[in-house]
Amino acid sequence: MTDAERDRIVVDSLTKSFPQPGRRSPDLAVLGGVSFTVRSGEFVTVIGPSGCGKSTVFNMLAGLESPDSGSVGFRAADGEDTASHCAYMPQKDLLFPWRSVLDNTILGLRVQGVPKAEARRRARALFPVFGLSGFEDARPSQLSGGMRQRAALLRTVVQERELLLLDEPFGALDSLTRTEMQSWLQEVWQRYRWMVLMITHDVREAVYLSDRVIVLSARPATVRHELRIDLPRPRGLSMITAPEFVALEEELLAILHEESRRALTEQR
Amino acid sequence: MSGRLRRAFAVMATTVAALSLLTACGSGGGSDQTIRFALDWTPNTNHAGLYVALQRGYFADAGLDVQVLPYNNTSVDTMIDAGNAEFGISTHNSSTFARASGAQVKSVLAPLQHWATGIGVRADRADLASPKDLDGKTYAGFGDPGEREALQQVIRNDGGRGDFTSVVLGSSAYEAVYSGKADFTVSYLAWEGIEAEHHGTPMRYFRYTDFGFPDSYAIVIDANEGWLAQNPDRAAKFVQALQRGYQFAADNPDAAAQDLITANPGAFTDEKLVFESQRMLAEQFMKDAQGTVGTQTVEQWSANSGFLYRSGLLTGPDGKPLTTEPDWSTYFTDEYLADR
Amino acid sequence: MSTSPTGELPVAASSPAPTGDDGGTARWAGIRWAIPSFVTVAALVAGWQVYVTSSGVRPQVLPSPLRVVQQGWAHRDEILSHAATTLQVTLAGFAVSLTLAWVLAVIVDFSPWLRRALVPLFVASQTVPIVAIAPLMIIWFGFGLLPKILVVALVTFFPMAIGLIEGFAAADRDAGALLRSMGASRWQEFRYVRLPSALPRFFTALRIGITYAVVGAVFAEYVGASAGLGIYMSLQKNSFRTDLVLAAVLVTALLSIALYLSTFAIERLVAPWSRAQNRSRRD
Repeated sequence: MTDAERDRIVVDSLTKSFPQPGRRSPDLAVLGGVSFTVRSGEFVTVIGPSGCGKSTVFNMLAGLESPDSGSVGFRAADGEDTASHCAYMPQKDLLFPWRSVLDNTILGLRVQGVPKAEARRRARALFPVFGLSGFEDARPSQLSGGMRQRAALLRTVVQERELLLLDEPFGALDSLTRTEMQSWLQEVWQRYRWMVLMITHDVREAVYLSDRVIVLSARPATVRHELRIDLPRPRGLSMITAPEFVALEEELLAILHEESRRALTEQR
Repeated sequence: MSGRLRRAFAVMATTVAALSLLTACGSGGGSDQTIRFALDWTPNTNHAGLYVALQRGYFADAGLDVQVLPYNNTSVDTMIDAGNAEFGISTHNSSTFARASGAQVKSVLAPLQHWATGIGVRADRADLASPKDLDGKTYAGFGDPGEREALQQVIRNDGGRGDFTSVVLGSSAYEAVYSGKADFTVSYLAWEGIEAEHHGTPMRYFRYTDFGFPDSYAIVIDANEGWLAQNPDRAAKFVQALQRGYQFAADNPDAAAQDLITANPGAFTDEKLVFESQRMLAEQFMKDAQGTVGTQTVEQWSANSGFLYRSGLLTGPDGKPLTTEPDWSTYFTDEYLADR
Repeated sequence: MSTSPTGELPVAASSPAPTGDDGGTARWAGIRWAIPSFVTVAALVAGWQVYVTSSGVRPQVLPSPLRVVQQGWAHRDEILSHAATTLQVTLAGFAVSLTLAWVLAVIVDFSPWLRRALVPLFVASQTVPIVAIAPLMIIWFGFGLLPKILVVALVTFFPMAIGLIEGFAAADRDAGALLRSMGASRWQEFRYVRLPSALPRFFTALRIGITYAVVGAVFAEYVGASAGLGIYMSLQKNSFRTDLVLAAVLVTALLSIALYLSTFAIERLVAPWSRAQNRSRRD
């Protein structure tokens, strides 16, 4: 199988502009032709300066927004709609206080029409893996920050969709918990090998977790750089100080800073 | 003293002060010279004498400034007793109940000498030929004390059981009977009676006295007893001026009707009603055997009020039913009327 | 820190957030909390009694609290039977407005056009002067239960309808987006997100509505009825029994308070998370 044939998700030349308040203001061009691909079993991270449209790309993959031009699609099925093949984990955990933790995690399955008992069975099986054993009947308010993110991820994963979209999954956590979670995610991903597309602002996290890092430029965004992370797996936390790791980190940071500076000067 | 106790006392003291202020405001308001007169209903021919006196200056002649208080839902006797009015139009029953329970009201003039009300049913109700047919029917009433018991007594006197459902509707009572939603009510013969004719829904009436029920004074003018005692001269002047008004109304019904209309512009859409009503009152209800208006007798007081007492309806100031029959002569007085 | 081979985190490593009161002291906390209001009410009543006793005002004008309670107790059978009628009317009318509020609020949530059409009408419903409408209701609908139920429904409809409409609209937009990303239909989004989100706000509105309901029923009865606290008050007023009028007023107040408190119990059953949410936020 050629490289191209192994691509599952194809994002092709996405453009998007948003109207600005005020009659005279021109539309704000956020995406200026973003293209990339993702393969099965690949962990890809997207980074870029704030406001460069990372979440917008995600929304398009999830079917919540449509591009002005360009397309997102599955290669194998000839550009088939990605929405039904994505499971989206937003920045906020959005666990509903009126549902138990278990019932929160089955939300995606219930929307798909899976009967409640069956959905609960499937979700319950994952609780030990996600470190939530014993909290099935607890209320979300009883969970710590890290546990809530894990529950949200469980909700995402249990839907058994091809592509996981993780939008800054650990952004709201303190740094200690975040490190724990990164380590944990790495191990769990290792076991399941999901196709993951993740947004993060933490370059270290991006290098630690990903097979490939895509850097978006400042608005209007295009793919500024793609970096393969060839570090061996499984990756322990000790790898963070290894020279190869640091080199990759530095490379990404340099590009990122350039784009951030450009974004700042361009902003009105 | 602990903080909580101090707070409690503060609240108590404030309450006492507030209450004193409120009830003080209630009693003894109005300027020294104005005499306030409370109405029992929107203006109608029962009030004719009052408006005659106002229009023709009888009060002014006697040096009195009289203010007619607009009708509101409060009982006239309550207003008089609380000091919000010096005089007012009440009924024999209401006056009895009020005084029995300790109110300081006294009847000083009776504009009408007999029951002016009767049980009213729609004329087309062939099934309701006499009071005993009212058993099991619906009465549209006014919530007046004693009204139920009087009706029950009349029905029983006619041979019925006195068993009927009662709905308190107030001013909507007549509509209810006209539209057939209720079966009977109590109407003023000289007002609703004539109005029903004009409406196109003629009624039939059963008069209480036809069924062995004692007669009463349909309306009485009540006064605040304390005020009477403190102002005997002005009391006499007022009552006599009012009596003059009612006497004029009894002797000259059309002129009196005109006075009533003139004094209340816009109040009467059917002016014919006013004239016919005043004529009926003048012919049948206002004058005693000597042709005088306003007199009262202890016999008539005892008969109707005695019925209320014997029915166990009257309660005293302590809230308990009366055990001894009151001296009815204390409930009214003729002393302020003009000597004939 | 180490993780087990399967990637599980030891449960003990994460501590749950505090959940609030421990059960035992909660009951006493409730009683302690109510003490200032007891003290105030007791002081007011005592002040009232002192005033009546010292000023010698007659019971027809202002009866003492003792007299009100004594006479109220003496006539308790009559008063309670009237109260039962009023309660019946209140609950029936409230049920009508509750149903109507839910149906219309859901419809309005699904249709922006109907929202613009109907919400001004809801507002207008609140401004109709009951004093004028109640007698008209009697003329149109007779003097059975129906006009009174309608008056109660009219008086209580608006707060609940608006509470629901705003509750639905206040649902977290991101939560809605999450549901949509899962492929949820509009109805599913409503059922899983908008409806549960609205419940805390609904219960607040329910409490407001229910305090109007009893008074509305009493007023409707006052205008025309054969039984009920409104009529009882009217009859006693005409008989110069101010003490019994106040006794009936007291019963009306107690009824309203009881209904108000019951909404908390219902809320705990239906939407237990809204109270718990508030508690844990305070910790």
